[in-house]
Amino acid sequence: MFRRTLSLLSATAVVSACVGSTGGGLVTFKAAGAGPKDAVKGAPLSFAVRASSGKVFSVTLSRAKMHAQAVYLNRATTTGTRREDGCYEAASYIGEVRADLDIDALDPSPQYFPKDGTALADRALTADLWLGSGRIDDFTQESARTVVFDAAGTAQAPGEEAIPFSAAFKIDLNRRRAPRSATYPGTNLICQLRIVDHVPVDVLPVEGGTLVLRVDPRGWFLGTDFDEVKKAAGTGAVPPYALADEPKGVSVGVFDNMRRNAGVYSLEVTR
Amino acid sequence: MPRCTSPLFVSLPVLLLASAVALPARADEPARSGGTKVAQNDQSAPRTLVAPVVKHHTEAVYPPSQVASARDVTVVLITTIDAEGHVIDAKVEASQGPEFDEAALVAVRQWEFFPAERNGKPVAARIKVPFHFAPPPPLPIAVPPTPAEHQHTKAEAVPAEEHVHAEEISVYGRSARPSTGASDFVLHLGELSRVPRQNAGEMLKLAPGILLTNEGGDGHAAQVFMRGFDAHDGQDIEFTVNGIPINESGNLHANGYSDTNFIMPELVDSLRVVEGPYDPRQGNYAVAGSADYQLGLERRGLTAKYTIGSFGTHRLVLLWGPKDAGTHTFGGGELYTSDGFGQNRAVKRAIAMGQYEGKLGEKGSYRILATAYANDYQSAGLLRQDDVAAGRKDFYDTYDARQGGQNTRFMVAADFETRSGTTVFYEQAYAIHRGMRLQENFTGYLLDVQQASQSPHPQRGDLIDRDITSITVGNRGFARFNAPFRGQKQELELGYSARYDATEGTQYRVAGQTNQPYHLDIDNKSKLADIGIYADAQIRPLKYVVLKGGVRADLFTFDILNGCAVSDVRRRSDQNPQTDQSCLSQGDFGNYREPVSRATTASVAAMPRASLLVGPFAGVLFSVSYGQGVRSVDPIYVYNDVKTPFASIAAYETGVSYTKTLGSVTLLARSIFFQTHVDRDLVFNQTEGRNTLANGTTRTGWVGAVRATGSFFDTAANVTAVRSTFDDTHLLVPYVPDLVVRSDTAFHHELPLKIDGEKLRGSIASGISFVGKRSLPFNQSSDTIFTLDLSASVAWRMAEIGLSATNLLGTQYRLGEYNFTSDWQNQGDTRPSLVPVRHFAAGAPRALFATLTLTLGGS
Repeated sequence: MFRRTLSLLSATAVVSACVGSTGGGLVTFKAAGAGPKDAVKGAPLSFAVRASSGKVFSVTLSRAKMHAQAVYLNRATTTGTRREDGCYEAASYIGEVRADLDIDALDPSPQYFPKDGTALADRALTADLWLGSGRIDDFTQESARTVVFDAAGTAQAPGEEAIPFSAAFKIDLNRRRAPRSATYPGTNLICQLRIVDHVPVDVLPVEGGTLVLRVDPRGWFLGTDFDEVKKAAGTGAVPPYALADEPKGVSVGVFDNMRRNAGVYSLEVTR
Repeated sequence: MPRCTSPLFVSLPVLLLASAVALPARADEPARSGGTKVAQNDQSAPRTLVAPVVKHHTEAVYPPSQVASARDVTVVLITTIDAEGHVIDAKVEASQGPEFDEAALVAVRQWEFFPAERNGKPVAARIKVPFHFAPPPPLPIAVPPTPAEHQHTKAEAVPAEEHVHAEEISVYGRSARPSTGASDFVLHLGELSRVPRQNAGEMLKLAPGILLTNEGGDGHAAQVFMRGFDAHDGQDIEFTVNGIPINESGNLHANGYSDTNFIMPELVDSLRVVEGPYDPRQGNYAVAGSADYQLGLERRGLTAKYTIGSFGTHRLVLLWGPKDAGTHTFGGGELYTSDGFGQNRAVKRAIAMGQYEGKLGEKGSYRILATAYANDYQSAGLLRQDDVAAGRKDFYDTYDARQGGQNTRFMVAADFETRSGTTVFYEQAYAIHRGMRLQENFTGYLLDVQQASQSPHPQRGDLIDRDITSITVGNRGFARFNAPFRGQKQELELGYSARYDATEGTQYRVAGQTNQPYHLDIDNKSKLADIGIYADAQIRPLKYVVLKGGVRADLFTFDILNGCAVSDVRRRSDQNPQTDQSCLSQGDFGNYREPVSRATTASVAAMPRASLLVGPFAGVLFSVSYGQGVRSVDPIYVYNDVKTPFASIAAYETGVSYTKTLGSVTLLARSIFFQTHVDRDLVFNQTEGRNTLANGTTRTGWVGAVRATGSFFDTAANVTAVRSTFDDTHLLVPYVPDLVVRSDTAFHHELPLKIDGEKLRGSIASGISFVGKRSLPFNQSSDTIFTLDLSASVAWRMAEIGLSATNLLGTQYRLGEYNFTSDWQNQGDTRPSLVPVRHFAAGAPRALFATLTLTLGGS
């Protein structure tokens, strides 16, 4: 009892309780998009692409833009999977940047979102990247017709003629999908196409820091057979050969690449 | 078999001394504040006056908290007896502090007299009645009778010796619960009732460490913080009224939900707050402590009271207490309407309460109580701070105007207490019917996440619509034996309490656009029983030492029928899929099953409790207490045949109290150090709109309280500082204030003004609250709160006019603050807000009220 009393007395000496913490914290930070660090602003980005056929193309991108409307940081550790239910979870996000930004993926310098982000001072292990603009689950709005990916360049196999190409993808009625079955009418939602979910990251937002979303457009064309691009454009087509803005042919692979949650997008925090 | 020894905080034999002088009131004016002419002033008649003589008398109980101090004091009462021999008024002339005064008042109101006579006819009279309180062993002390000082001018004093004799009286009366030490606060409002209070719940502020907030609206139970506990809707405090439990077991909104709004503040005689589970009588929910409202009405006659004030507030109160009955016989009703401040805070309510107390033989009494309560209210809920800062919302605005609710509560109860030899017997039975609807929306449009099995939908809204109906019946009783041992009075009490609760509750989610329910979250029917028995002994080995303690054991049984037992299955039917239904009647592969499941379980909790009280010096009482308490589990957590995971509490404290009388001023001061540990705490969960189970927590703190009462003032102040942490992480428990300071003060005196020969009486009273920073999730903290309430009144004869102001300084403050995630889709942004931000419930702005009170035919 004496020890108990003593502990009561000593503890009460600091009991004004201006000490202690409930843990964590809330922070505000700047947010930016950027191209890969090895890109040079104003200069095209060249890289090699091995097509699924085994053929290797030398690709030079002269334009690579993406429209993002939000980044959500998640404490969940689930990676490598895609969301099948709904558009987002309700209670596992620790940070958010909610603003529209056209990101020039050929510019390695930070291009700032017009609004700051907020977050818990907690480590995020995955992120959701929201593409396009407007309501994420709506086909009907004008904003649904926002061009999400916009790229142009040339691809050339050794000893062959260069193939100029372009791609401008929207995510609206053109990509509507039927539900998986009548049992699961809530599957294959449009929002699931507009969100690059569960991007593996490891960032700790800090007050006054900058969260940088790096977009590596090289990943968009991974495995792309540019001969198929030219072929899909049809005979008589005038270059640059445009990839179809619908889920068919070679466009499917490029679109899927643009939504890949590994190898294309990364997050870092700078002070 | 050894005889149980009797107690310390016993009722000591009271000596009636001398009633003395009977005085008829002047013929041409009403009795002092009652308005009744009690006798004719016939100048020609011979003035043969016979003083009243005691017919039946009731023992005054030595105040339990004063026993260890062994004070030997005399309280003198000016007592008015009507022509039928009933005590119709009693006032303290010589005070010995609120506790002795109250004990004397309680006793004398139960006395009966042979009335005074003038010329052979019974007349009203006023006499002095001294009550002598002596520590055991009691000695009869005769006090010479003295004429009453406030007699009417033409009355004659009659020598008391001729009519009333000093005598020792062995009498009966309703016994008080023994004190458990320094944290046992018996709060008589007295003149502090003049401090502005909006409801009976606010009386709790007279006890230390109490913070009341309310994010749910005027008709919603207050969120109560006590000693570092967030009792939220009251489930960590055992609330009772006349000993009848208020906590609602099985309430879907909060298991143990306690709404004291059904109590009319004018009908509260006293409030006893025990901070900590130190008394074996304390049952379920006594985690932070317990609060017992004792009903009574001092004012006799018919009283009408009308209040009009800010925000369209109107309050009409009618009270009546028969002149020939005691404080515990009364009736009253209230009608209240208000538009409320800001948006969506209107409320309408009505209350009716009545109680009759009658004699039960020569040594007992019985009481029958009935109450009725109904309200309908709107609630503004919480606002996001960023919306207010950006000007998207006003400080007193709301997001969802559908928030609010409705309540009904009907209760009947009967009890009796009697004495056989040295044993007191008490029994009580009660029945309560309760209805409650509550609509709340904390998170806006966040939780309705699309499920694969649901048709595609946007967020439909998170408005919770709860409906709860319950019936509670119960009874309790005790027998208290006392006997002397080694010259000291020893005591043993054996008692029980039993209650049964049948509750039905549903919780729907309602769509924002259509206002139609789209999802059934909960559909529960529960049958709960709680039977507890206890033994409480008070052993007094020495005159100044009391060892008080015992054990309580409760059996809790749960029988829960979940009407929505299947909300998802692993393998859904391909042929006949149930997609949008909340409650499925299919198992795997579409096999039919009823959508219900039943769970039953039971648990026993044993709780030892003990206090050591030592009073070596006059007026000083040291105490050390230990106790264990329990909070039964929310039925929603009950699983079949799994041991009920009730929360266990262990509390320790050491304290000292000091009482001193200086002339007409009585001073009472206390200092207490405490520590409490709970193995399963409750922490607010905004997604469920209620407190949910969390990990173990520990609170350590200090309480200081002082009250000084004089002939023209009454002032009380208390301070509580506490640190509350989780056991596993040692992080602070969110939402609880680290520092609470409260001061209540009232001054009252006759004014140097007369109207028609009668002096005016004036009063002024203030209530000051300071609440320190409250820790919030994510290492945030709230603002501090400072408010000042003020009232002033002038009374003349049967009329009184009062003005009161709450939040006189007009402070714009946040009554409750929270950090959580919400998305209201009204910020011009189609992207959801998914990260926690600050929310708050606005405190009430400055409000002014005027009250007119008229009393007829009484005092």
